Amino acid sequence: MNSADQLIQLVAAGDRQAFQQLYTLFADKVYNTAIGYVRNQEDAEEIAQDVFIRVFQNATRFKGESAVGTWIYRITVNTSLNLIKKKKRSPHVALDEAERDQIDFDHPGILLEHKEHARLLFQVIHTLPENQQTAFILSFVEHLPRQEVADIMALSLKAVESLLQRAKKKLREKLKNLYPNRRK
Amino acid sequence: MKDEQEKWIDAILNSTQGSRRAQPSADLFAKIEQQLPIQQARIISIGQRRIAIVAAVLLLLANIFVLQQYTGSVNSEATIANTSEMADKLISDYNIYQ
Repeated sequence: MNSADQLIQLVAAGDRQAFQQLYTLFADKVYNTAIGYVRNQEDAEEIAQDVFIRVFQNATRFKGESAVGTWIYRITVNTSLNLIKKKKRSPHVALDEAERDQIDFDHPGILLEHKEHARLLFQVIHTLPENQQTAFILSFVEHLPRQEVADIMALSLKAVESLLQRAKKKLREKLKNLYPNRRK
Repeated sequence: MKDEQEKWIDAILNSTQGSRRAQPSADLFAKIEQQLPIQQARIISIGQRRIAIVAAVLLLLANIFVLQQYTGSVNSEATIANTSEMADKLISDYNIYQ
């Protein structure tokens, strides 16, 4: 199989087989990142479709200034955030549907013994500001190295570490309110 | 109490450890492909096809002509060489005074 760099050049030339190979390399990465944002499989698949169509349409514009993976992750992050904004603006999303997304989301990849806790985590992640949410999802849902997160977000490593620190602090505060035996 | 709470929060923050990536459905690529522009097959007009055929035939005829010319010249050289050889033999045969 060709490398991602070779594949993107072939995709730019309209090679459909190369596009399928590129999809095979990145589909789970894109989908997993998306599902961290939207917390339901249907929207995550919609995002994944949009991402790969954009990759196909814009392959000719890829200049190689970053790694292909970094570029694809960036498209995924932007597409996910755009869908979230679009849904917030839409009056047609039923409140109970939104609430259901928040509470009942079971990430398919989470270990069984952590499912209960992960459900709460995903409930509060979406309350973070965009940058903190992105840093957290890429680091702890997608498990990317900090430097790769920095490359995707076009930030310094220090800036990413700072975002993660603030994200964890905010999450702690939110989770305190959800603690089962807290004093009222 | 506070320690228990902190432990509980830590457990939640670390709940993604060891997780695998979620996988999209098997038919996702097919859905993506459907949205891509249709690949246009190159349509060659009848006129262009005729020109191509004529060009191919002319090329073939030219090759045959060149090949005939070549084999013809090789044959005549061989004939000349043979004749010279024979001539030498004949001449040497006539050298009756040695």
